Amino acid sequence: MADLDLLRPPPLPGRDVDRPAVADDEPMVINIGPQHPSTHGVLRLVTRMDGERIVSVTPDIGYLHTGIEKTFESKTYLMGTTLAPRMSYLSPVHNNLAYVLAVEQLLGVEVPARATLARVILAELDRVASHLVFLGIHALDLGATSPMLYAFRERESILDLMEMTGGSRMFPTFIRPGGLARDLPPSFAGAVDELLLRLPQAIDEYERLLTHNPLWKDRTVGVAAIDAADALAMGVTGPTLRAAGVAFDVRKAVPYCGYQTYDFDVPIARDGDAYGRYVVRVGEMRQAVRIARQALERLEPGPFITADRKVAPPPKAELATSMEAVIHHFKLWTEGVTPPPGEAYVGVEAPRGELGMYVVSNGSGRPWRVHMRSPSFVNLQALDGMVRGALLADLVTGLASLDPVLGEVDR
Amino acid sequence: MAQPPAAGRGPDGPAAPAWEDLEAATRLLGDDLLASCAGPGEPTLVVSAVRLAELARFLRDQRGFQLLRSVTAVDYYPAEPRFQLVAHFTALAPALLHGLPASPDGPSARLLRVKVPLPGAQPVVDSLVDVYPTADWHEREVYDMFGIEFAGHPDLRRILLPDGYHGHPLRKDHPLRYEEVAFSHNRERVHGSKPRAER
Amino acid sequence: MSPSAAPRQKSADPGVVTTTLAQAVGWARSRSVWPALFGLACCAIEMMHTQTARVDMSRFGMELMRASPRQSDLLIVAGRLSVKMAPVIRRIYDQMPEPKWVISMGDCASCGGVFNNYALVQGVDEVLPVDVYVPGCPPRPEALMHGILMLHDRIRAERLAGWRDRDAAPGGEQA
Repeated sequence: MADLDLLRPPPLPGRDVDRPAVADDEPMVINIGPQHPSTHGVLRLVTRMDGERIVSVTPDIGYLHTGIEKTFESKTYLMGTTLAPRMSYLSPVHNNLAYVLAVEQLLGVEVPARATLARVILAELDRVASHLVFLGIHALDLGATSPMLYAFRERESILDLMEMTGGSRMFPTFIRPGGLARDLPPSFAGAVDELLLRLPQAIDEYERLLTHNPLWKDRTVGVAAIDAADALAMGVTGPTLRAAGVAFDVRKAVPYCGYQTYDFDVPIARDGDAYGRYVVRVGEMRQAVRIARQALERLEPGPFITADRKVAPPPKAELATSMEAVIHHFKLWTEGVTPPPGEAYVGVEAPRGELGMYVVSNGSGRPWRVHMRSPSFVNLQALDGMVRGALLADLVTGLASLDPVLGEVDR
Repeated sequence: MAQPPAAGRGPDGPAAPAWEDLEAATRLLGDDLLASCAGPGEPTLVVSAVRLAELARFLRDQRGFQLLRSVTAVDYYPAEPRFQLVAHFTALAPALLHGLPASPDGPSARLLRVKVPLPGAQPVVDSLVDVYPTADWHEREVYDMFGIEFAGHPDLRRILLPDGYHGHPLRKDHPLRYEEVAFSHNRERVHGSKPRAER
Repeated sequence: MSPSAAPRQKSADPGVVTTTLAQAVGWARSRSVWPALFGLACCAIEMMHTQTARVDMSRFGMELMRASPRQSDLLIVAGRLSVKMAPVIRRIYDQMPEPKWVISMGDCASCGGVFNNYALVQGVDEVLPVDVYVPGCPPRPEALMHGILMLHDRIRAERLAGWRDRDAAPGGEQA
């Protein structure tokens, strides 16, 4: 940051920020991070303070830059499904889903109903798991150490379900172009059913701890507020935008995976503050349980992946009898799927906002360009406007309520 | 709802009435609209660089595209024009802005993609920061990764890579810097050539 | 450590255990290793899972994650180390007082993992001396716990003799 002018805070382009006037003749510069317990990862916040009041915050990112977008270009499309979840590692199913939907749009392939239902169930469980981390870590940042232990108890159950499908707790990579990696295990439906019965009571327990807690409300009501116009101008999406009163949910506005056929509400709040974001996320957890319950009831036996052999590998049994199956198998595992030249953008409603994958194909087995529109990258930009004039402790609240994941900020 | 869900075929969201946006853009830009495409997928406009800022202002003020989702770029080296700047916009239905659920009949969001071809020699384009403040970090990332400059950007410097880094990684002529994987047959050579901290 | 029977009147059992200094120090050090909070990426989430109720690091005296490296013994490098972050982690490591240990958690920290490219340091052992490598992407909480217990065994077995020469790290406290 050698050329940063420390005495003059950078202007927020094109926006008037209506905050109490703070004398900024001699601001003190505090460096928070990149190694810090409350920065949700390796984020550096260069904070200019006037006493205890924040004059401005400049996030310095890039400490987790992994070059994932460049790495995509050297891997096949199937290998890319392994890279994608590691960007936003707290919502891996949504990354996986967005990437695979974009590849399927390029391929023009139909996905069987059973696979779509399974994707919806996994996506909603992933949403609950991510919001549980939000809950636990947000409370921990503010000094409440118990909710994290309760929240992670339910998260362990969800991760057990993920492990049941794909073998890995966090990155099962179960969603593949054309459908799923393999059929859902027989015990899956029963386990999901049991979890969906348990979750609403667990959410009630978290709410009993926090929602009407005067300490919690003291720390979050009116803190780090952003209004709808500012949020839209800053490109903010997800619970932060919905807490400001805009009912934009990609699942309702630009539906994918059949979300238009499910019965669910979009929780919103009016004040745009940290408390509103907490309330919106708790509401989303309840709605996720509702959606997953509906998807589970519709689950029926059937194919789990498309029959198009240029996209989906043939079942192992077929390899013994059909030469064509062997050829398809060979081509898929050496060259991979080859979508025709074109481009596709698919946005999904990730727990943090609109997560988009923009995939450009040049007709070969490797993507020409993959770009991830990551919600945390965009939401983090709004942090400065949210906390100007606030106390330093409110910066921690504001950052925690934005729920950024540095993996997707830096990619 | 007793209907079975439609088998997924990418996002089954509506993209209409895209033709209204495309028509309005055609009237505005005339010859500077190099191509337009209503689908499949997102409606796309290909615009020449000089009219980008004007188009953005038009989209925000006249067509209701309040949200700029992302600004990114693609490198088509060695083809010319080498770069394509790609911006994605979303228009939300007015009901959503007031926190009301959108009506189930019409689309509640319209999508649009705008592409701008840029030459490889000196790629410069106007910054969108004055129209969409969110473009700030997106443009810094495009500069960092591709070397495309944005005229009028308040603070154009690297965002993801260290300040002193040379090169723009997402360009096709920048190497991946893949390190040779160590197996038992080349282990000594690989480990001998990379640093190792002893204490 | 103390005998289970009530104190006896006879002088043959005064309630004392004899051992060597090295064993006593090793026992004490291994039973209260304080990790420094250094979660970088996805592995940090599994590290959090190792701390919470199911696997529970605090059974082994490690619940207290210190934010400041000056108060910690163990650096668990959980996640991928980018080129921009490498000087920072070296500085954090140098700020830790002796004796200190490093666990490289996960594939990215051990060898660069899935990301073999320009942006990542291919293994934190290019920058820090590592004591235990825990493979996995991410390693299960049980796997991390196994690595930690392996480190505890090594700590318990460390010799005390020659500590002056061994622990005089070049450029240590100057950071």
